[in-house]
Amino acid sequence: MMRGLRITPLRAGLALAVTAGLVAGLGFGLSRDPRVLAPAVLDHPAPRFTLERLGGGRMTLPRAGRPLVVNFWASWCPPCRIEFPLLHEAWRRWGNRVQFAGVLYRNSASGARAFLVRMGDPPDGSYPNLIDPGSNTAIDFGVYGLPETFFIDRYGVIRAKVIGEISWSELEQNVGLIRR
Amino acid sequence: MRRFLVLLSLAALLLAPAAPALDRGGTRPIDRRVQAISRELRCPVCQNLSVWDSPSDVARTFRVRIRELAEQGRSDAQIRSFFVARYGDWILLEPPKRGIGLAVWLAPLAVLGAGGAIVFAAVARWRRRAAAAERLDPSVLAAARARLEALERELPPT
Repeated sequence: MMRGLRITPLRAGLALAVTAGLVAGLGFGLSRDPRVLAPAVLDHPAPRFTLERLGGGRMTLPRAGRPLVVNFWASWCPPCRIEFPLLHEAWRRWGNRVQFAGVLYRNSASGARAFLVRMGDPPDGSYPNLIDPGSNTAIDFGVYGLPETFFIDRYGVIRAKVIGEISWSELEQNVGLIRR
Repeated sequence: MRRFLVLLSLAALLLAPAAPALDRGGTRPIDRRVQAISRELRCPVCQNLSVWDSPSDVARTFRVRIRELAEQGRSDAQIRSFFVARYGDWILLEPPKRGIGLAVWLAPLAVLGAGGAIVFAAVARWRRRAAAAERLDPSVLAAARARLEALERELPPT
């Protein structure tokens, strides 16, 4: 009398639907790139910030009509140190049309200065690096961890964000996006 | 003297964890608000720790910012949406009750309801079958009873 276990088309269909739903949910969750998680600030106006430059003086960004690349970094962060030459090369290539800026994240000014000197790029040798006391600018940009690089178009809108060590192709593609 | 210094440093070591971090101390209403809000926010660099529970620098930065916003007179909801606007719904430890977040809240209820419906249907079926057994034709029942008595008579006396 095992009537409960009889396979009917309805039951088979239900079981299939539930299984398919679970597999689809898992597949969706596992296939998403965690580096592009919750880009809440994407396509929103970038926050305006005025910060002290490592080389002295204050600076307000973004400037109207000028695309901007902002790199949040610290000298204690290994991927930041690895990607630094790429950013420097990008600045050398596109710096005449695109503003580049580094924002220090929980980094002592002396530590950052020593790193830049060691890289042959003393403060304000190439693009400015700004000191962010209290990490308020980082929070305004929704920074999770280091490094993070934001690409802001000439209208001040955040068009792209790269979490983690940036590659040359990501730089090329996203600078192209904001130069338009 | 040396022993005294050793003892003193040991005592300092023992007492150190009891000293609250500056940004987490206090029992004024604003301190309690900072605590309540930071318990609802996810620390961005930790594995499922709230901003309140995390010892990380980033979490401390968040707590300082929450306090600043509260001191500026922003409401709890405004402070929460300040962080959601920058980090997305992900920053809330409890998913918001809308969109996919609503599904997360409702799914357990739906599963519970479906389970209840299955149990209800099964019980109803058992009761129907029991009732059907009671409604047996009296002549069939009498025949069965007679057969049982006949079998019992054939058994050797114990």
